Amino acid sequence: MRPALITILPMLAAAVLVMVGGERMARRDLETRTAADRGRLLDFDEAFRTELARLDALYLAHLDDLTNAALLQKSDEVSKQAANITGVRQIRIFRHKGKDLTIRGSREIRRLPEIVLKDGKRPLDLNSASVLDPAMLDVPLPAAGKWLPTSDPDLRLHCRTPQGGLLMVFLIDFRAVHVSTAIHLASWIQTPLSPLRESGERVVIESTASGELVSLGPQQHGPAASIIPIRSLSGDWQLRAWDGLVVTRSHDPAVITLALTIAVLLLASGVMLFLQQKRALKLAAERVSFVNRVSHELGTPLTNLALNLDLATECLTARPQESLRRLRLVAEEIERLSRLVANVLTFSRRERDTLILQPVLCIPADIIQSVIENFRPALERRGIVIETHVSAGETVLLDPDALSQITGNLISNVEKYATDGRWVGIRCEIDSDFLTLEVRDRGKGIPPGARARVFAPFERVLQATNEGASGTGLGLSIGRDLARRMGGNLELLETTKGASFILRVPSPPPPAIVSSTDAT
Amino acid sequence: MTILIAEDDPLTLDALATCIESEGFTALRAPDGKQAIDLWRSEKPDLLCLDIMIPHIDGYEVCRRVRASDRTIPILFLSAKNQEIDVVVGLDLGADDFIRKPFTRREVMARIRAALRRRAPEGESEHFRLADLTVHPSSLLAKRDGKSIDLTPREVSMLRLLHKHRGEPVSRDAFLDTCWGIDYFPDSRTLDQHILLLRKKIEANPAEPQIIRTVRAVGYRFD
Repeated sequence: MRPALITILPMLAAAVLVMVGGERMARRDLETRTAADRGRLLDFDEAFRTELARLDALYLAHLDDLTNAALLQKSDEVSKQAANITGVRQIRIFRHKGKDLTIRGSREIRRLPEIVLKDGKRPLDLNSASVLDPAMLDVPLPAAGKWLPTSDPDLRLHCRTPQGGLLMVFLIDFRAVHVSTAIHLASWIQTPLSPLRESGERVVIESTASGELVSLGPQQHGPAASIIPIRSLSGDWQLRAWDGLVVTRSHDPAVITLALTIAVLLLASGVMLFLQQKRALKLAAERVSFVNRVSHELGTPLTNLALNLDLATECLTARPQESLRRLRLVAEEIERLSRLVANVLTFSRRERDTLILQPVLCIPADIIQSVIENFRPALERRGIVIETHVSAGETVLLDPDALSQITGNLISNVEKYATDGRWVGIRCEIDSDFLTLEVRDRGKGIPPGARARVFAPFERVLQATNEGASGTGLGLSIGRDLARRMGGNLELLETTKGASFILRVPSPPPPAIVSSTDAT
Repeated sequence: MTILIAEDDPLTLDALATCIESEGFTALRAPDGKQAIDLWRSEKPDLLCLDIMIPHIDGYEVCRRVRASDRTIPILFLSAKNQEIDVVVGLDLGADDFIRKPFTRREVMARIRAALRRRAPEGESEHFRLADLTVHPSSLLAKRDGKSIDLTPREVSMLRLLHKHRGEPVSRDAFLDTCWGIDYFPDSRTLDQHILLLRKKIEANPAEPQIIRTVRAVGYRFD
């Protein structure tokens, strides 16, 4: 998992980023604008203004009625009437003659500001109180009255002078007025708005006081194309209209292709890196294992050398025959170590590409016989019968060291892995300039599933500790490599019992020496 | 004392057995795990030396089976497997020691003696005295002034023979018959070499031996 984390995943992330960036770079948005229908908008504007004006007039008419009622009727009755008019919280009546009068309107929880004349009663809370000029009693106001602000932005004063020397002041809660107006408009607006809705216009109607009343059409982009302000008693309104916008999106195929190519390359690089890293890790593990195996393989012969040399020295004078026997065993073990070192060196040279064969004139039978004789004591100690048919007695041109090494590795495998068979057959002959060497045993053989990999370096078919045999896993790999470098091959034959390896390499005869007398 | 060696390499098996026998032990040779188990059951050896990679039943399994029924017998692994995990597995299975190949004769014999000593603590076993030297046969040790001296079974046998015949000369033949056995035909130089080595070990001054005195033309004597 770890190699994937540092190879494939970052590359995958980079590929995704490249694809996202590429898509953004390749994106082409074509905006098609459709102008808002000004005619329909203006028609609606007119209808909306008319309705707002009607509502303003209606409200003022109610205030007229209330003014007249205050002049003619009792306070209680006026109060009831005032409670029915939206937003009227209080009516204050100031006279030159007589006491000031206060009529309560619709119920209000919060504390209302006091309304007093400047020279009159001193208000309790001077900051919130609305103090009027007493001159207003004498100067007649317009028939539509006069609007004055209060300390509370939601509350406003509507002043009227229905008679000389009488000032009537209405305290109006415009928040309530706005709410009522918005409720009314929300139902009223559906009919006049239908032409705009049906034509798919993008329109927003909003008030500074009560916020958005209606929004038509899809989401609006950017500043509005038309803004129509409308002022009324119930607040400032705004009609905002946007042009129609259709965005058509397309992608530049060249940029997308480029991004896709880079992304695929990144991913491929990630996979390559992953595989390479996996291979490198496997190779490193194999090398560590190889070093361990080599040191393991060195252990037994070195022990045998140490023990036998010690024993040989001990009985050198007392029992010279025993000493000699021990020294012969030492020589055998040195031979075993030499084979191991030769294999390691050959493998190392092959890895560094410095392995060069040197064919010379030699007699294959002598080489093979010599190897067999080297192995004979060890094989006989293990009870292995050696059967040989070595007939390659001609002088041929090949690398004797390579032939010796291949033969040694094949016989060594019999010694290590086929002791149970108690037999090894070695056949060697030369036919049609080809040397054939067959090493056959009657051991356990090689399982069918392992036949393909026995020639791979570091591979060992029998790895369990109870197999009783170890090895570097290089013998057959080196054998086949040397055989191929010699122009031939080393193969595993199909057998019913045991294993049989066959080496076939070209063995050309020595070049003919033509003397000058023969030439003439 | 009998030592069982389970080792598949014939050369190692032979050399190790010879080394062990030369110190007076009896060596049992097992070329594979199956024979090792059979010999252990039939011969009841005093110590096992096991290689790990041996045919049929590997050394680990032999150790496991032996330990299942005998928790005290010393078991030594002698293996070319040299990774830490191999040692840990071997010791976890109940082995007393793990000797990595390549090893020398002196190293392996010292470890075998040490394992046998650990099995038989000196205080609990029989002992005999030769002058100021106390010999503990079962732990292969001699002690003088609190200082321990390593002995081989043959050396213990030689000292025991001298102790048994205190004040009498012990002939060279008696030494060879008793300490080497009737199947072994060592020459007289072998005995001389052993006496020389033994004196170096146990005598306070080997040039003037007080424990093993030479009786000219006969043999040796302890007074």
